[in-house]
Amino acid sequence: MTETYNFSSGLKKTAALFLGIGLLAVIVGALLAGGHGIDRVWSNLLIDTYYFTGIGLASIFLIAAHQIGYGGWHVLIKRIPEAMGSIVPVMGIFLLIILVGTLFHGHHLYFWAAEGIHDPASPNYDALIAETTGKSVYLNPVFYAIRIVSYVALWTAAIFAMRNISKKEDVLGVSATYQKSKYIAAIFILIFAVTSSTGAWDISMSVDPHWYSTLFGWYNFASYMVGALAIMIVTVAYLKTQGYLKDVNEEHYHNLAMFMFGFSVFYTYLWFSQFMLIWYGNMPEETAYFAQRFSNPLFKFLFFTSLSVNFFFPFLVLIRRKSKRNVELLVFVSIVLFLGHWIDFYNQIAPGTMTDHKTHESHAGFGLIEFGMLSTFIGIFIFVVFNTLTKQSLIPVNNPYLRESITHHTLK
Amino acid sequence: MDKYVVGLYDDEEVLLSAVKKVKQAGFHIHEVVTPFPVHGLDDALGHRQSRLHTVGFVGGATGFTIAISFMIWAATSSYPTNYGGKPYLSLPSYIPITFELTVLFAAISMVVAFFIRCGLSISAKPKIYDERTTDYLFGMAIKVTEDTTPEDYSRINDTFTKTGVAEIKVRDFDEEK
Repeated sequence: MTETYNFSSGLKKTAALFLGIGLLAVIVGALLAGGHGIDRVWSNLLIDTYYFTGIGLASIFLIAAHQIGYGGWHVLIKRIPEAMGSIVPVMGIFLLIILVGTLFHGHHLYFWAAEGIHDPASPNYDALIAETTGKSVYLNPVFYAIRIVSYVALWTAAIFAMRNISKKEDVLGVSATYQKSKYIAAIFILIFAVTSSTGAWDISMSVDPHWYSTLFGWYNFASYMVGALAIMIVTVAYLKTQGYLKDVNEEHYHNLAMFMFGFSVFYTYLWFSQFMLIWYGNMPEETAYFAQRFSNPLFKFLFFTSLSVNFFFPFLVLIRRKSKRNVELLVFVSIVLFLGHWIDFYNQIAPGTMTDHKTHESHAGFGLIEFGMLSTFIGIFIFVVFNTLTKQSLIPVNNPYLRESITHHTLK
Repeated sequence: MDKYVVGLYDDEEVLLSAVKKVKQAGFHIHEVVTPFPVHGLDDALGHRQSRLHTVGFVGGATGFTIAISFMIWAATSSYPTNYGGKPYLSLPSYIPITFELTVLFAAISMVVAFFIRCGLSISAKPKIYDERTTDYLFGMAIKVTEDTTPEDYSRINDTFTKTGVAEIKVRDFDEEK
């Protein structure tokens, strides 16, 4: 029953191609973009690092939630989200690079970290952040560094523990690991419950430090949950074309697609909750966020693109039972949703990082650098995740729910 | 005449294979009652996909239309009021109520349709083949008529016995009235 995955040279070449073309596009794009090219590279590094960190965490979360909730259908494909979790330590390195840049003013992603923000004489002075009652209690470089380092450490440790116990299960058998795996999953969910929110505030929301939204963390969580499910579907479909995972059938696709549909609707629910309250309340400090996205034609276009791609498209396509069981269609929807949520993250971060905070002039662009950086990260992702897949059996042979997963069946 | 031969099984796996065998033997299965949903039973019985969700869609669409058209009418022509400087026709503020009414109409219409279709409406008299089918037994009912000969009865009994039945009984709902 044990199945070993071989990282084929064809896929390695594809990954290298993604990586190479991506890097080339970033370099060429940065050279063509001129003065603000470097800022755009940093901004895109932040966008993609954040997106892929979230995807890795969300896939481990899916496993953890099933583990403590006695879920069984996912066991056949369990090793794929587990391997996807291994992207988080790699993205942690990028988070730390961005952190070093923040501390030593190497980039302008977070203007609350700028020099002289507390000094009334400085041109960078910002009263909202600097005042003692202001936001610098939370948004100051020291506390920020402590938080980012502890996120990376906690996430890496928790994901390592999750994968380690699953690996042990293959060798030692279920009686040695079952109870412990539940504890570890519960601890992961506990960590993730707090850090998914605070992480979203720190990494993404603080590019607009004057603005805040309390449901931002869950809204982001829904986003990268959809991204993770989309990648899972594409990966399962790819592995099946390579002759692996023979027992996976349309019932498993159906469940994954139901999750993707559900989280797309959940995403829209939170997106709309945030939008409508701000639109209705019409308070300047809140409306500023959307005003910025509506006054720039690029952001406005992406704003409506993201809404239609991330809600109307999956809602209308995936609502039918038949389309949840049609693999070709699912792979197409998954790719579209993956890009759709990437656009959403772009529209969250780029207006904040690429706007001059004094003149309100936007230097954002959408072209070679954006697609190049995404392509680079996809290349890294394939290398890391598929390399992790080779480390253990594709099928968790000792899992007590394996038979339930093989005979899994959705009621009509 | 409302009379049935009921085979009672005590295991769902046995029941599933029995359903297939009884159908193969050429009998029409009137109904199968189980204490919990049995995976694969719908397929074995040859049921088509439930149309309950169509009812849900129609109900939801009705709720959606009622909510959105009423609010547009009220806010633009019946009683236009200025709220916070917003235009009279401001769709984002209608979405929560439209959503609620869509869900409410869809849910209620599905519950009502489900109860009517399953014979569980208030005035309905439920046919209970055996009370233990709500607890631990699985019942398979085959309808018999005046034309059913004693040979047919024994053939039904034989088929049931061959498929591992736990108990066979005959229920005549006309007699009980």
